[in-house]
Amino acid sequence: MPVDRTISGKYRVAVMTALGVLTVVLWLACMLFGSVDIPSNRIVAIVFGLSEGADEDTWRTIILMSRLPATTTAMLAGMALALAGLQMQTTFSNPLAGPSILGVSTGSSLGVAVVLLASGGAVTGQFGIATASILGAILGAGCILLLLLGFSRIVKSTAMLLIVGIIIGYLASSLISLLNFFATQEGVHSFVIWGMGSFGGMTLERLGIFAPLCIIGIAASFLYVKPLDAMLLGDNYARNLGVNVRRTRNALLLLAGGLTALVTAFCGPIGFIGLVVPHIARLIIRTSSHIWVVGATALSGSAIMLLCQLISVMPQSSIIPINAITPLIGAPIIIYIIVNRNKIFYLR
Amino acid sequence: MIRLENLSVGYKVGGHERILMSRLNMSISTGEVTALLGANGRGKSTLLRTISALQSPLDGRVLIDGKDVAACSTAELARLLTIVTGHSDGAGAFTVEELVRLGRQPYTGFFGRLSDRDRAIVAEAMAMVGVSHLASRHVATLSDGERQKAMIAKAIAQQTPVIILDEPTAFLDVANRLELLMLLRDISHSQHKAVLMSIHDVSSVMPIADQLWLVVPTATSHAPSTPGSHIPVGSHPGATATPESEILSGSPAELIASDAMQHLFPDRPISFDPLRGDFLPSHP
Repeated sequence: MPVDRTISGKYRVAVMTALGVLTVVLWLACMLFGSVDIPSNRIVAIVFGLSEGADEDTWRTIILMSRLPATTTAMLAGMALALAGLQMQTTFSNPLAGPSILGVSTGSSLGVAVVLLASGGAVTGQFGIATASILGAILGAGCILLLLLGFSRIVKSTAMLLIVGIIIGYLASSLISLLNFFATQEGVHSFVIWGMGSFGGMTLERLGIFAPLCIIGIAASFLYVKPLDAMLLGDNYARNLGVNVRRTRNALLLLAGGLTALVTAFCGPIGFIGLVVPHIARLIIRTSSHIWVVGATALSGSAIMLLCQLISVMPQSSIIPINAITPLIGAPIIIYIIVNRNKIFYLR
Repeated sequence: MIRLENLSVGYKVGGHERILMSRLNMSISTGEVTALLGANGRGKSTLLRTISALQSPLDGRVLIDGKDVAACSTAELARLLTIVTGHSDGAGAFTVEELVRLGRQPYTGFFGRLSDRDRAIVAEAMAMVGVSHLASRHVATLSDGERQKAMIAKAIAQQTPVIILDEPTAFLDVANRLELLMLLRDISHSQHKAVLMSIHDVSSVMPIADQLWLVVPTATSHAPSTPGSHIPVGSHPGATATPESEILSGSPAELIASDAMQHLFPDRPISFDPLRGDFLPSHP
């Protein structure tokens, strides 16, 4: 029906525009609000390098060393985790799949645990801990990802591969528990802090590494809209539509795993976003056609993550851990959307 | 259109071959509907999977349009045959039109953008199956009958010379069942497509099928079963066992006349009633 198509097309363009505007507004809000009040015109001046006078040095430090990298990281991390969740959910035809389910983020945690706990306190200092965590997380996630790709060659069934992934995740968790059991108190403390998730540790230098990699991953997600659509019908239908299912599955595992590992390495394991945002995106864009859903997921992910970041810096004294906020924000949104649709039009 | 050449189908289980059927030599022409009948577990789905190149044959070849399907790339296969294997849960959030558009994937570019011609083909496929009025409805909100029609519209939009369906009438009421089968026959005849479907609904398919393939147990089909009397098939390398099933083919009328239908369910307390065109209890 041509008439319906234009209406739904218009509706979807409107939704995408609204999400884009929301992301920009929330990014600005995150730049404007924080534990220290800074006039907005000074913020603009500092960001564009027009600041004058030594009395603004503190403000400049706050803006450039803290707010700008943290806010931009939150935006990109939200997109990356949400897209990783979408890719996992479609690849495994499982609405409960998310970046954390395949053990990739648990692998990151294991890597960090090895660095912080098993090193016996050899890693000290805030900078040392952060750098070691990033390396540990990437190594840990990389090992798990290689293991998964190895199993993907042997295990033909996608559902079985999902189960193998979950089991690997549990194995990694139990190793983490053992490391915790034998670790020093200081080690456990810094590991617990890392596990709460935060964008506070970002610096401009780290953003310089994180942002380009993240943007590459996000852009690559748009290359898979066609095979992802076919894979929603299941492996057999996808093959029958000309998709090389095994190769696509491995590429998506690598992409979703890479995005998750990257974010986890720099920000700690951030849960819930990857699981819930793809559902929010599908429900508001009202289709699972990936040419729409990929964009809607990326924008919803960044908007929700920025909202979480905004709330986390609200208290004057300190920063609330991100993982304490994501479900508080995400859960009401998804429940509101589900309850307000008279029919859940997917997931029978 | 479809030709089976010395085809053996089955599984390799831990170094052993389980041969379901062997040395099949048969064919389906364009514009012909072939119904595959047989008891559960006789190997109908395995045969369909082998013909669709979703599974390798143990031996022999499947030729579609003269091409060996096992040697075709997935991209080539996508233009040779389309499958309808029932509903997939993941399709729920597609609108019907979006689902039917997926049928154009073998022909579209990297991002799957549809040309005007593709859009026309999609519209035509929906009209042919009678789901145009459902175009903007989400698949999850459809009834079983409507959903099956949408899947068939997707298959038609794929514009392949061969359509393979695995139990397309399962879960459908009698009206939808007959409507769907008549639709498949019309499409097959008017668009010159070879249609092959497995089906359990004997009475509904008899009037519309041009050809039946009866998958029957090997021993009983030759003669009244005498244990150990069957001839071993020695041609298959490494095979010591007789295939579990074989296929009797012919038009419905021929098969009824030769009483071949009785071989479908030997040793079961039912028999084929030629007048009703269906199975009935032997001793009511």
